[in-house]
Formats: sequence, structure tokens, C-alpha cells
Amino acid sequence: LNPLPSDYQPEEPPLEPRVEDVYNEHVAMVWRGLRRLGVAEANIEDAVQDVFLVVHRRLSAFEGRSEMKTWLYGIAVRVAKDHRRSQTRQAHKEERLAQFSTLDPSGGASPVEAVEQREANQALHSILAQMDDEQREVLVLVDMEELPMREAADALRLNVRTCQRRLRTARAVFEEKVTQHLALGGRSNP
Amino acid sequence: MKPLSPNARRLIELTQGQDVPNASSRSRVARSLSGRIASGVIVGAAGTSIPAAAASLGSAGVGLGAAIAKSVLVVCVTGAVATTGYLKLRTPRPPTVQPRPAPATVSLPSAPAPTIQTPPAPALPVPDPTPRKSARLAPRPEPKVVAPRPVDHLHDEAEALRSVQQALRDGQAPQALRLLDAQDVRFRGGLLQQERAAARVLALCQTGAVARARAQAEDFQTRWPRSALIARIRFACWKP
Repeated sequence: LNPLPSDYQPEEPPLEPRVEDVYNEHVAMVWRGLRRLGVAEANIEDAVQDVFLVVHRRLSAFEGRSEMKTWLYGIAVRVAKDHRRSQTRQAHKEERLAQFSTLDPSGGASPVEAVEQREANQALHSILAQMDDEQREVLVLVDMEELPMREAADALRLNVRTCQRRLRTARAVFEEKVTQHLALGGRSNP
Repeated sequence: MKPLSPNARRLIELTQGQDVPNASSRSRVARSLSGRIASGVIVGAAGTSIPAAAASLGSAGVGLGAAIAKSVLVVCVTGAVATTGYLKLRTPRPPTVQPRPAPATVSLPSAPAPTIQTPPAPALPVPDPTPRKSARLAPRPEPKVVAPRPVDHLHDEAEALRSVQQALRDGQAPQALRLLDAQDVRFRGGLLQQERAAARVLALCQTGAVARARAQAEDFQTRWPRSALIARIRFACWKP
């Protein structure tokens, strides 16, 4: 063994991330992910809190074997599943109303552009809502949140091959519904 | 694997700036979350760093400031990029339906200073400084603007709540109630009102004041019907 150099300094262990840092950095991503995974507008704040409560409880056990983003999506998928199960008819009704009343940040977009973005978003939600949970989850993680296949498989607790198979089916269903939607002039649910 | 078609991709791209929280939503969630984390003090979650984490999250909620402004700016930019295409994507049809008029508040304020209202303070008798005679003629005073509480207050508030928990653990419910009375005054309008109210129910149960505890529990459910603490206090005085 070579002797250690005289100026050797042991490497500082990496600092554990703090829940508030995770929140500040990732809340927008978690929020958007939960909405696309089917959490109603009326329940979104509760669902976001639930994700970060899990983060708070488990952060010390986060080993960094996966990316923080992947870990968070894994939690979000499960929280969204719980919320979808418990979402009441009232929440669905409020969701439909919310589509007409909530104002998404549209930056410096002109009024027409802002309407266009909102309508596109409504169309996306409408299409996602018609997909099976399994199809929606993989499509959201890979094609919308842009997780690599291996990380999406980790977040969904699937092996990569199964994840790929699901994605293939999900894309076909999504394509079909987008085509139907556009053929109807974007004004009706496919 | 076959990639998505250009139309499908475009639809997704158009929505990239959507479904993100605005500054006030982020602040509100951070504040609720910090309260729920701090409530671990009452519901028995272990860990000494809870108040610190709660306080820090509170700071995330109260003082997001530059970080939020930055993220909102990013959203504005991505939103601005993704502004054309969806209407073009659609197959043209006779315009039987006009697009809805753009909402008046589509654009975010450029400086998204979080406008956080602290929860309503409990009504305390406040002496009226104005003479009764002139009060009738005077115009109604403007409602007070409640400033966000400084971050340190949340830390202090959570620490104070821990002393209540300690008293409850030691079986000193009267002491816990005295502490709660003092804290309700000291942290009037604070973030942990809900947790103090829950602790009060538990303390009353411990003293044997079952009727008062149940009344307080009902009041709690009315004020915070969606609170996670309801499950904890609902059967607080229940004896198997």
C-alpha cells in the first residue's frame, strides 16, 4: 500500500438533503406529475403534501441509489394511485369546473395563446383520463416527464422489459386518442 | 420502439408550462406541510429535528422570494415558447364555437410576492381606543393586513408545542393546558393553531373533562374538517 500523502484530507461525507431543499427544488415537478397521473385539481395540494410527508419520513433512508427525481416519481405514482381511488364524484365535478376557472401560469402569452395552451392541457388531461392507470403511468413518466426507461421502471417497480411493453401499448392508445381528438376539431372528448 | 407522432409530441410540448403551482400555491402548501410535520410533535412522530424541518419549510413558504420568482420566470419562458400550434393542430372546422375569452388574470404578476394570510386569530377582547360617540360617525376601519410571521416564530412555536407534549407525556395535563393558554396568546394567528387545538383536546381528556374535550373536538372538526389530526382526537377520550 502506498502511504497517504502528508496533506491527505479525508473526504467529507456528502450532506444529507433536507426536506425543504427537496421541496423547493422539486415541488413543481411533483405537482405537474401528480396532475398528469390523475389527481384532481381539487385534491392536488393534499396530494403534494402527502408526497413530501413521505419524503420527510423517508429521506434519511434515501440512499441515492436512484436519482432523487426517480425516487420522487416513485412516491408520486403511489400517492396518485391512492388519491385516484378516493377521489369522489364531487372531486370529478370540481375538476371539470376547475378546467374553466383555474388560471395556469401562461407567462407572457397573449390571451389567444393562453387559451390555446389551456385547451391543449385540457385535451391532454381528457385523453390521459381515458387511459388505464398502468398505461398512463408509464406514458407520463417516459414521454412527458422524460425519465429514462430504466428509471421509469424503477419508479414503477417493474423490470425494464415489462416497462417497455407497457409503453408500447400506452403510446398506441395515446396516439389513437390524440388522432380522434384532433379529428373532432379538438372540441369534443374523443 | 416506435416514437410518438409529431402531433402527439406537439400536444405534450404545448402543455409543458401548465400544471405548475404558482407562488401562492407553493407557499400555501409549504405552510400546511410544515404544520403537518410539526404536528408530529403531537401525534407522536419521533425525531428531534421535526421543529427545525417545519420551521425551514415555513421559511420556504413565507420567504420563497427569489427562488419562486426564478421558477415562475422559467415557467413564463417555457409558456411563451409553447404558444402556438394547438389551434393549428386541430382539423379546421366551421367555427361554431368561439374560443372562450381570455381570463383577465391570465398573466402572472411579474413579482410574485407571496401574499400569505395567516390563519384568523382567535377573537380576543380588544379595547376600542376610539370614543363611543365618534365611533358612530367614523367610517369603518379598513381590515388589517396581516403580515406573514417571521420564520423564527414558527421555530419558537414548534419548540413551545414540544413543551406541551412533554407535559402530556409526564401526565401533567393542567400544566399542558396552562402552556397552551399562554401559547395561544403568544402565537396568536400562528401556524400551529390547529396542533395546539388538538393538544388541548388531549389535555382535557387527561384531566377528565370529557364533555369539554368532546366539545373542543367537535369545534376542531368544524374548523378544520380535513385535518389529519381528526383521527387522533376523535377518540381521544374514548375508553375501551
